Amino acid sequence: MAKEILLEIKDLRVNFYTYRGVVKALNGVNLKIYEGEFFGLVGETGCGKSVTASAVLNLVQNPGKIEEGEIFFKEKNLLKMNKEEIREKIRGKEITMIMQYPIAALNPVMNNGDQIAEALIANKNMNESEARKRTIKLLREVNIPEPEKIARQFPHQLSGGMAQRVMIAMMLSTEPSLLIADEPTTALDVSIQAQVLSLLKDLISKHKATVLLITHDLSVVAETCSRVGVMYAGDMVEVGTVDQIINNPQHPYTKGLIKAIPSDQSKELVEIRGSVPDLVNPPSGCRFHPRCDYAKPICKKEKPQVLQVEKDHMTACFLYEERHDKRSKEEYKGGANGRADSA
Amino acid sequence: MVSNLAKENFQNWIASWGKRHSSEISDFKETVYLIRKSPLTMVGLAVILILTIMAIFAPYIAPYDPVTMHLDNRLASPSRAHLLGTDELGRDILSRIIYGAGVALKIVLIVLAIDLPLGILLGLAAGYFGGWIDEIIMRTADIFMAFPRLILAMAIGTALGPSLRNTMIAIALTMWPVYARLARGETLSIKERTFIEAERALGTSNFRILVFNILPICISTLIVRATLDMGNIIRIAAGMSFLGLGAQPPTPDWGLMVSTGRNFLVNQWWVPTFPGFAILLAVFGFNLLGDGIRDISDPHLRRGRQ
Repeated sequence: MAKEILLEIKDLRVNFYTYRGVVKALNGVNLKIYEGEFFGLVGETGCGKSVTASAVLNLVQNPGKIEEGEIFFKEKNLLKMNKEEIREKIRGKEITMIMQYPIAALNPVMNNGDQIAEALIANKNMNESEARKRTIKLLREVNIPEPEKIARQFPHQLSGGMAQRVMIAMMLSTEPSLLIADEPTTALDVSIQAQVLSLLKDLISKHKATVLLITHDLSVVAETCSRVGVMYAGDMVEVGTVDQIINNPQHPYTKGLIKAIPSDQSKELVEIRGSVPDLVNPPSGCRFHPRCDYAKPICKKEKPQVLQVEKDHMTACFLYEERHDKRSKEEYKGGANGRADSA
Repeated sequence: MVSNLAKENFQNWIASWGKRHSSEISDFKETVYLIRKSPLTMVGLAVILILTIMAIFAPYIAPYDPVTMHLDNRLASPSRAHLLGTDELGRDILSRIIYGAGVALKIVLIVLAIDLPLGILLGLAAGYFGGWIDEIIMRTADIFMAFPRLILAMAIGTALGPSLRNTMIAIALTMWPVYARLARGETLSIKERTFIEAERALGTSNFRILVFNILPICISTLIVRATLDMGNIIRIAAGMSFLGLGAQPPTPDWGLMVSTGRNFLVNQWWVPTFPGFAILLAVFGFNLLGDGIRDISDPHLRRGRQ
């Protein structure tokens, strides 16, 4: 991928200062998103996907705090910008965000058309009649039947899928270069999910935008994304293309996730043993080691480095570090067959 | 030709008005239906309407001038010429009550015109920004709320000097904390909702979020509270006038009329009684209407809009 890097997150740490103690939500996350791609971020609930997204918009809410790290967007460090600057130049103009529950994300007392027009007036300096015309056009673009009628209706009169389309229209209205979609299809049923995802895909290629799709649903990722990042307990454990992640997972956690997808072949439902760690007292070293079948003494002591296992495919696991050192040691079953040499 | 076309366009525009605003119209119809279904609200509405008509058309309705004295006709009992009798200076009590409606409504409207915007402004700021802004505004509000409202209004009224204008200022100063608290509470809950987060993600400024997203939602609560408070305002204003802190003679103020008339309660009962009834009716009417509006604006009572 010789494309340009649109968003680069370097060693991002976010803590939440709660009554129970400091929740170490992000533990040095690294991420690169290239222009024009559809990047999926997967992981369990509470692993830091949404925190990463809000950190990009500098919207980490109290009691959360970005401790360290850098977020480069178009080669500008967003964390060095002041609040006004990021609000005026980035949010809404360069980066927008689609929320999980579309009906809750629309203002209940403003009709749908006004909400989109409002975004246009505020961000694009349009006058009212221009904004209204554009709104109808946008609604038509997201496949809403009778856009004039829907524009006059209020969010509670819409179904979930419709509301999500209105939301998409609103967030694309300002022609952002990066669209963050935070579990956009979680609240929708499966057939509507597929519709919304394919719509999103179409629109993105049409508007030449980049998408950061946050989800816990691997099938959604498999369907739509070009590259995937897997997060676990505040760490980015594996990054690769969809094909690499789905067909050739390297990190034990990703392997567990893939195995846990119900299939026709296996009658048993495979799970990853244990449960998500408490991030007030995260496990030492690799945060996954208490649940890992391949854990070694070193996993308890040190945080694994990110290693390249093949082209475009990185993972943070000591299994590969060792393999990298000693070359093709097949002691750990199920791994890649000697692929680690390209780093 | 051109003008014909314009005329036709205009006619179409008029004709399609109903269609374009169908949801608003059906909503309005439902509101009317709900009011008509509730007899107490109707009574309240009727009282307030009569009061308003009295206030606006007082010079045309009132049979006599409210301030001209007729010392030859002092303390006349109710008769055909003076339906509610005359007071100690020979002034027609009915006329004074009719003019008094205007004074009472003026107090209510001016106090609310000061307090609603003030309360909204301070409450929104406190709730939205939090921190030290919140502390300063709400602790000030707490100080005002620590005193009984009538006592505080009296103290401020005394300090400013007795007059109708100062009464309004005094009442306004004692009432704003209620609205500020209400607006703050609403703001606190609304600002945590997802659509505010969505607005932030769109880069909307704090000002726009406050004015276009939070204000429209909390305004209905505040309006209900304001209608419920209208009776209170009349009551406090009458109380202050009764104590000599409010309207000064010869203003036809109900509280003042009760105050000067109380010396005649035993032998000429009509002098203080009728203005007292006027206060009672007005407060009662405002309370009934306020309750009615609260019930009607309750979304659980309304059917879904289609």
